[in-house]
Amino acid sequence: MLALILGNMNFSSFNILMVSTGIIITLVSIISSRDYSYSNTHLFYICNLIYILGFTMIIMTENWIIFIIGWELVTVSTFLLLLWGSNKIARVYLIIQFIGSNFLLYVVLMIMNAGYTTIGPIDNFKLQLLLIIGVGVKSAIIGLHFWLPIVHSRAPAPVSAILSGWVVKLGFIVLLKTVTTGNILLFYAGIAMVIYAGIQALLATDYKVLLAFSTISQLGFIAIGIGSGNYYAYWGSALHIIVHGLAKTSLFLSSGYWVKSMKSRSIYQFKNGWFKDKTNSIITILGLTVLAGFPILAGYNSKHLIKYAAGNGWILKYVFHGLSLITYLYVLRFIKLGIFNLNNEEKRDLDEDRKVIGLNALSALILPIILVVLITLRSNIITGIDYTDYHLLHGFIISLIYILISITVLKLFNWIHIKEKPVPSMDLLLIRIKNGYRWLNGSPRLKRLEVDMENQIYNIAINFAKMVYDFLPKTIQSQLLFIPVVLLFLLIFYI
Amino acid sequence: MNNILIYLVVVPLATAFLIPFVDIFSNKARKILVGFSALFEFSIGMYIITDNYAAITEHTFFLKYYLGNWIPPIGITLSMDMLSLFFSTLISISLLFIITYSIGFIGHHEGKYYVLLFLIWAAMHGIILTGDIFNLDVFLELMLITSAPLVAFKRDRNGTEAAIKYMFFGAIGGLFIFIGVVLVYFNLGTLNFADIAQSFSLLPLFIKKMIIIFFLIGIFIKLGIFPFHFWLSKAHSACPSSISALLSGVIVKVYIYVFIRLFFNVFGFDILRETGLDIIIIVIALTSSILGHVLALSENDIKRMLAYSTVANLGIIVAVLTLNTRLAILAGLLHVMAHLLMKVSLFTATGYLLQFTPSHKLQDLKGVAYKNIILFAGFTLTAAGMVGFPPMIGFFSKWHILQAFLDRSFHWGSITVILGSIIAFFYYIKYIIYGFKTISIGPPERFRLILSVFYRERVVTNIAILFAIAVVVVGVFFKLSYGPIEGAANAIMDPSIYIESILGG
Repeated sequence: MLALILGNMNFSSFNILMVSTGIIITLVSIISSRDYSYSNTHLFYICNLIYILGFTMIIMTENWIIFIIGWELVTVSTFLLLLWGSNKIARVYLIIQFIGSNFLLYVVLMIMNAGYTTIGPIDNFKLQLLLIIGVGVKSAIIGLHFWLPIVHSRAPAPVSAILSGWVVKLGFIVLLKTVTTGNILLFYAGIAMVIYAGIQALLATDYKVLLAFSTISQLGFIAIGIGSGNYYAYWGSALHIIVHGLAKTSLFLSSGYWVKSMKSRSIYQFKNGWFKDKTNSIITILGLTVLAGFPILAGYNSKHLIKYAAGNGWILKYVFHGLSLITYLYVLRFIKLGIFNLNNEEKRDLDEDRKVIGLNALSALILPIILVVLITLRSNIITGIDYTDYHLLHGFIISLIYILISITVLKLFNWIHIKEKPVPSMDLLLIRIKNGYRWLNGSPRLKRLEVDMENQIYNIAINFAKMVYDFLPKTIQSQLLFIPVVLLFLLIFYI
Repeated sequence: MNNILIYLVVVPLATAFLIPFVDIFSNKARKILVGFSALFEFSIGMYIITDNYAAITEHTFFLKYYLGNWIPPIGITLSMDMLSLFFSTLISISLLFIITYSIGFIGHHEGKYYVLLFLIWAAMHGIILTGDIFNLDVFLELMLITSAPLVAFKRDRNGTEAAIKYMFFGAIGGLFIFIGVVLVYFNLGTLNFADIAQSFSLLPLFIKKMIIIFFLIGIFIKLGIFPFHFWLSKAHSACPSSISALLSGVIVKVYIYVFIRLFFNVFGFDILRETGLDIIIIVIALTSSILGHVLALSENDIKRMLAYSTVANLGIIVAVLTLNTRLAILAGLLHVMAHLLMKVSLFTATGYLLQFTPSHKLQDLKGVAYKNIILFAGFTLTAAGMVGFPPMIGFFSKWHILQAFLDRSFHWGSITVILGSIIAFFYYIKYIIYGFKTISIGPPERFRLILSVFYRERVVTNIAILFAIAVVVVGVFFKLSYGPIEGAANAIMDPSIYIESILGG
């Protein structure tokens, strides 16, 4: 056993750092889960342990087969964790992830077949691309991201913290190890992810959907860093994986408490958040600041590395400024609409039932933020590169300009106060596809489905299978007829 | 010369003939006899392993016995090499547990049941040990004739129909094999495997192709490869679950053994490769595999679903073996073991669960998990193994199969495996979801009291759980099974070992 572990595991400082970040995120989520009255808590903890084992295998190993086993363990254990929420979402998640991990299995075997027997740098562009698509389902590369807002926004808060904080990062950790010299398609996919998901987050009316889309958007930054192939951007991505993981965990956990105290998920209902729950407000603002990359906190460092190293040429320089701006836009919009949507008349009524979150919640929410602060102080040790001067003053001025532009734009559009949208689901996705077809046809639009998406896919598959079954002969005479037919076929064509 | 080999065939055969006599005196004596014989047969196999442990680890293991002391080209030779040992061990272990399961499961006509079961056991060991092509045909027919009454064991319309179909197809398959045997004897004047192997390449190409076609069609009918799969789903689902486990898990593996022995050792694989038949076999087998999965998806009946899944898995095994690389044969043998364990586990668990439902239909399985949650968890784990979730054994065999296909750059094969496991995922999860659904008692006419007829419930559940544990444990420690499988693969890849060991004294 010891030989197996020592022979296949790589205890480099990078791996240990990643694993310990993952464990901290899981532990924080477990602490927070104690505030929700879950049944069968011991099973919940066991699933968390399996999950820890799974991602430890993924991160530590150099052996592809252990990597795949770890990958499947993570799939199964996160599916089991999702069962504490809604059964349907868990099923959707499992089906999509199973198909994704089968594709990954195929890709991994192709990579092994090409001679890359251990996990390490891959030079072949096509194999890199296949691997990116393979991990894409779990890590929500654009095009394969459609499930993420659905699952992450409907999962219970501690589970969505795990999923959004760490599970989606696992694919990128593998890409960090394999795509060391950059991949131009990953780079552009990253830019597309930031823009698309950023706009979606800007238009979101549900807090958890906003967070889910912001996850995709931030993953875009990581993809840009890895895809550029630049040394500093590469380590910026590594730093961003850790920083965003911690911040997003804190945000998703706090979203659970927000929903509890506001009794609604819509950000328009988050009235007087500042008065209702000051601690939670401060922590949420800190988390969002990390996402946006405001100086001093470590989010600035990672974004700084990615932003100024990944692109060369003046077009990309402005594009990156635009990408940063998108994050500021949705972060500031939520801070205004969600937390500082103050109404002094209601404040007096609120004085009686002011919420103070408990010790569990406080420790769960504050721990990731403290870690982010610690990382800020020593980010050069974590990345392991010789880069200490992050040009804080310059960053501060640039960030203030971002904020000014964002506030102006948001004011101009009335803080993008759009009509409330339903929470995304598979059914809505199908309705949208069907309506697209109906729009071409000119027929009236669908409002809702008669049979939900999952059952429709099942029905299509089973009806197809029944069609095949009906196509085959039923009577024994015609079934026996196949024997002389095959015999004749072989006699004619083979002999 | 090793007398021990003859006991492997004689002990079950003698038990089968003894059971009716003992049955006259007392039921209890019969039960003791059945249990004792099963254990005795199992321990013979274990004795062979322990006695030749050094030879087995060095892959030089070979035992032979000349019946009536006739020297090879004339008499019948019983022999056991690494390949036979692998299959014999699998059969002995699984049959010991299936018989234990039957003690709790079968409540009626037990005398006849065990007679037939032991005759099947004798026939299986006969097929695996014999070195004579006509003797092989005889044992194949014996296995068919003894298993057909077991298919009809429930004595209902469905079972009888299935048994008739089984007999029809089986007899025609046997006929094809018999014609092949006749062709071999007329052209070579010998029936001994080793002797045929030595002089087969001297035959004219036309005759060689003819013989291979007849054997191939015969074996494919018996294996239920498309387009001869029609009997399989019916026969494997109409009988009691213990027999389903036997048919679907074990007996088809014996046909796989016949396929390997004839086409790799006796006729030699070169003839298949030279004439391009191997590609045809792979294409047929892969078609069969994907079709089996699709048909399993269309089924609403849990046992028929499992039977179609057998069609699919046999297609994969045949296809991967026909690739004929070392990796492919390792993968094929690993999947033989994996599929045996998993299918027996699934059928034994299903047998228990179906005692509480009015029919085999999906809708009637609602809430069946709560009858025995541990057993159903085992069922779920095994189903996860079937679709390839680690750390079940199914994952490792799938991994090796994919590797073998990609190694030969046979992308269609690997895509079929991936697609198949995705379809399999859909049809297994359907049953598992229904199993965990809570029941709401409907109108009175839908609600029917079902009496379970277990003789010993504890035995049944324990065996089902034991197989599920085996699926996981063998998966975790699958590297330990590399040794015997590599030995068997050596025996397949190098037929000269077999020929020289039999003819060389």
